[in-house]
Amino acid sequence: MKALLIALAAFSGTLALAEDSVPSVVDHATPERMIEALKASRGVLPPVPDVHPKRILSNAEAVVPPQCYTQTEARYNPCYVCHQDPINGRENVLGDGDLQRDYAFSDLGMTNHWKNLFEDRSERVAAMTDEEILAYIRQDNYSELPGRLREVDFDGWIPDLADLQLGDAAFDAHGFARDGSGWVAFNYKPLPSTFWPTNGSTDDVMIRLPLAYRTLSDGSPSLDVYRSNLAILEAQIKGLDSISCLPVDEKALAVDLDGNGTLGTATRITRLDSWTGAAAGEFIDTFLYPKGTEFLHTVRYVGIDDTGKIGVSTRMKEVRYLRKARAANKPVYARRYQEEGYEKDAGNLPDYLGLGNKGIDNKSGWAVQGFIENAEGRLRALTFEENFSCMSCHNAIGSTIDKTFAFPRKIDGSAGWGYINLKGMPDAPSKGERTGEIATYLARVGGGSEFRNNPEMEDRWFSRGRVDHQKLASAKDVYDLITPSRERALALNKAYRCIVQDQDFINGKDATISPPKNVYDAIDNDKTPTLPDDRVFSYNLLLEWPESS
Amino acid sequence: MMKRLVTRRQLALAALVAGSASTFAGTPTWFIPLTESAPVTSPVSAEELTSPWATPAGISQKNAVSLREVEDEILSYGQSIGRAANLGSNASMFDMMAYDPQGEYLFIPHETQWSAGVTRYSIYDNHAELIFQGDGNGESGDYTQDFGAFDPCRFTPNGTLFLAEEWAGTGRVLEVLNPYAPVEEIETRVLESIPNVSHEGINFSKKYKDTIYFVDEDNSGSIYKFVMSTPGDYTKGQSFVLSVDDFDGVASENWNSTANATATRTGNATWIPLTDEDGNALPGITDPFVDDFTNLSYRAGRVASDNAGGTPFGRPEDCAVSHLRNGREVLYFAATSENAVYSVEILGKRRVRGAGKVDRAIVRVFASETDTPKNLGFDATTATLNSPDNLSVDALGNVYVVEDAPNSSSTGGDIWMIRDTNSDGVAESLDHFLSIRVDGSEATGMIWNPVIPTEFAVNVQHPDSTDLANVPNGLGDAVWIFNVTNVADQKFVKRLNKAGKNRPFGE
Repeated sequence: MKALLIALAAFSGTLALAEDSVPSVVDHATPERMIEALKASRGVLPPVPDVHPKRILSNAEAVVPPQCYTQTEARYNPCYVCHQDPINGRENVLGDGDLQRDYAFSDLGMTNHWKNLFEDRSERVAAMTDEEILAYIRQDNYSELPGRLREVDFDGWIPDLADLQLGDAAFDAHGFARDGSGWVAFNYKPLPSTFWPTNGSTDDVMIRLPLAYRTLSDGSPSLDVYRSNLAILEAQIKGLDSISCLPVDEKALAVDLDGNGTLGTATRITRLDSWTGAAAGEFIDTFLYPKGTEFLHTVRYVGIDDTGKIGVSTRMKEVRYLRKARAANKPVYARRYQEEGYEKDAGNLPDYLGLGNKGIDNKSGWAVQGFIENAEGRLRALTFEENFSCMSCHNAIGSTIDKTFAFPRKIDGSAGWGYINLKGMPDAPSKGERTGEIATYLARVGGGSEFRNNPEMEDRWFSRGRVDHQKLASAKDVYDLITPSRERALALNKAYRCIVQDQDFINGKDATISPPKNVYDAIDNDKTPTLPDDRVFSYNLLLEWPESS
Repeated sequence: MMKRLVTRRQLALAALVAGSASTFAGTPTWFIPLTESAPVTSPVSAEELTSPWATPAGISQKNAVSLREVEDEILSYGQSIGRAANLGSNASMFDMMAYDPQGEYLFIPHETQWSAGVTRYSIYDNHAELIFQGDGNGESGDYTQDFGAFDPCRFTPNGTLFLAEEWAGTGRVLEVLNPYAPVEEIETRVLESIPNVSHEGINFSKKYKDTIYFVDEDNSGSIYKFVMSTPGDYTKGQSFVLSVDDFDGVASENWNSTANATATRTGNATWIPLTDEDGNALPGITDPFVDDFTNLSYRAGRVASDNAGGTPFGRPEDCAVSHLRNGREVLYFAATSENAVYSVEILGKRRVRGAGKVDRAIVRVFASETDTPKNLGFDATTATLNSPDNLSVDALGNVYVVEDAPNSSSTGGDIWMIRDTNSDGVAESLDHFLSIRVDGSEATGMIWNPVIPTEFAVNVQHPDSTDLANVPNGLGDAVWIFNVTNVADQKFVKRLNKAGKNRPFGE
């Protein structure tokens, strides 16, 4: 009898591990019922509501992220990083620079729906031991994901980069994935300031161009084609006249890329008006990615190694994926922005097309998809509303280039191909400026985060409430500037772990321990203080990297 | 004898006036209005496939044609329909359809950013053919042989077909000279006689055989008319823009700019000439007939209007022509950004002291979200008039307005009847008529059948299901035909049928 029970237990255990190929349906769905269902769910597919998911959005203005509710007190301006007027030649003509001056929220947006900002997690954080959180973030929750997705015949993108949980070990010295998947890691400067490790997350970003951009015209794979096309793309996205590249055999391509009149080994490309290899005839224009471009972005905990060094954790908070499913020219984008403006003027709330397991269409050709931890820490696909909030950054702001951040901020040229490494990275100024971007940000924002709720950054880089440039001068690199202490890293990791347990990502994912003071729970478009003209700034997402970098 | 004759004439005149009034005055509301907008449903839901609109009782809807049907090579062998490359759910964009006068064909314009064209759909043969399409080079910015965003489509008194570019291309009007011809014999011409604007509504006067009205869909857009030198010749004539006499704002600025927000934009108005009778721009007026292939956002007619002091409105969209109870012609146009529909009473040429004969009109707010009651006398609706766009007029003169977009991401857009029973150009109520529930779509092209007055057609435009990469086997853009024969108000149905016998065109 006992043997039978053991066998039954083993059998039921096997059943428990099997993935359900059909997501469970939440009857009479509401946002609250969805959260409860997510807490109970163990599958790789999240529960789905019994009605169209748009009908139960808890925050139909999720394109207004938590940071937009910062109390600027007519002085502190974190808004400029996202909200900018158009820059000549770019596809992004949203022109939302006025949002630095004016809240201009819809009626719905005037209430801060990011309730997690107001949750005090101090006790829960205190109850979690350092060993517990360290063990947690050192676990691998990525490797099993592809298999689990295949098990349920997932028809969205399935992660196909082996060993990504290992970080830089998954790539060669130039960033090319060791598994031959075509993914290429690049070294970029994290955008201020949610993506600074000191504010709770680390990340990495990889790019992959479509097969035609990696092969010769006869279809055979070619590293020369891929290296040259990646460099050409980088120059186009940055609007450069030439760019250094990893060595390219021009003879293999029969193209004089460096314009020196001979076919040799090119380390700089000046001929930027067309792609190479099988993609040679494909559409090309500045500030646009070609159709089929993919980005893979993993957001991770703040990893801490045995020496105390900060880096990416093995565990992933999120696996995010962007694919340019439809290419368009600049007039198309201009029309989309015009239509979006009309919709906003008409008082309509933002609307995006769900693509099922392929994510959400951001209306500008990109399919945006992702995976996030379930309550146990295993990765699962995003719900519609969780996915919906991605539109804030990947569509609805004026500073991006073809809706992206990281690639335009890659270290220029050949030096920037490789896994992200903040060590040795200089604090390059924003294009057109002279002071380091981070130093500038700290001064404009008056703190080390949008909410000015990072006391450690203030201790390190401020004196009597002002940026201390002497202190800043002591920082050797970006790593010194924006990575937290071990203690802060542990606390932030614990705070985020609480949100994972609660599965209420739709209420915000900011790893706050106690409620930040400088955030509004509601905005009055007419009465809430706004920034005066002398606190409004022009900003370019691109960076002035020194030649040596 | 004389007395009897006079009496007969008086009776005949009275009957004419009464007949005219009954034909063109609006009717009381003939359906039980909806009380809320419809929630959207998932792509290829049962609702999308069988009944995309929530309707009042007694109104049927059936699918006439869809992308899915025509693109099925077995089901629809030899048929074709417009689908532009690389535009996802915006690849076909059925827009403001036109019936031919016999009610046998529907001409469906494609408001695609490039490869704009027109599909001819034979209702009784259930056969669709793409009879014209640009060369598609607009995708790379070359519109010399391509067209963009055909929004209006109008069957002309000459038996030809007008198509015109709205937000893409260069703002041209294209005339299909032989719209019934086999596809390979179709002939077209660009009418360089009509100013380049963002054409959204273009319509023929029913009273003046030489007049075509059109509007410019821009936040500084104005109302225009083209008066042919010879009635029936669309290639030469004089262009005018409407200027409200008391407008003291800035013509070139948006309707709601600081300078214009409080400016008067209703009341007595004058048609200001932009050209002479041969179409030559007048001194001080920019040439309004420029096809600028290098600056695709340029609309020469708009600049000319600004020169002449044309009054700006908030994105004038469709326009419709009818008559008021006083017998005068009225031009209705929807101002999308203003959430309003205007009426322009056409007065004709009037003598003005010191100015000779002046071409006059009166501009009124016909209906608006802010000022017009909704469902007056019926249960209230929670819906709002949001971005009014296409207009349609039934055989009894009732005006219907179709909203441009869904009210929100989860709620469908609506169609309203604008109740104006005394037909004075100012509505008494907006009555909630239909509400679409297809995700990602808007309703477009509502038009009443010129032969079967109880029928009208409406499109589902750019639903999610047009993008087959996302929704395999999706229904896509589709035309639906409605019939009101079975509504409870049979008196209305009888009147509609009777009035329809004398009605020359579906509207």
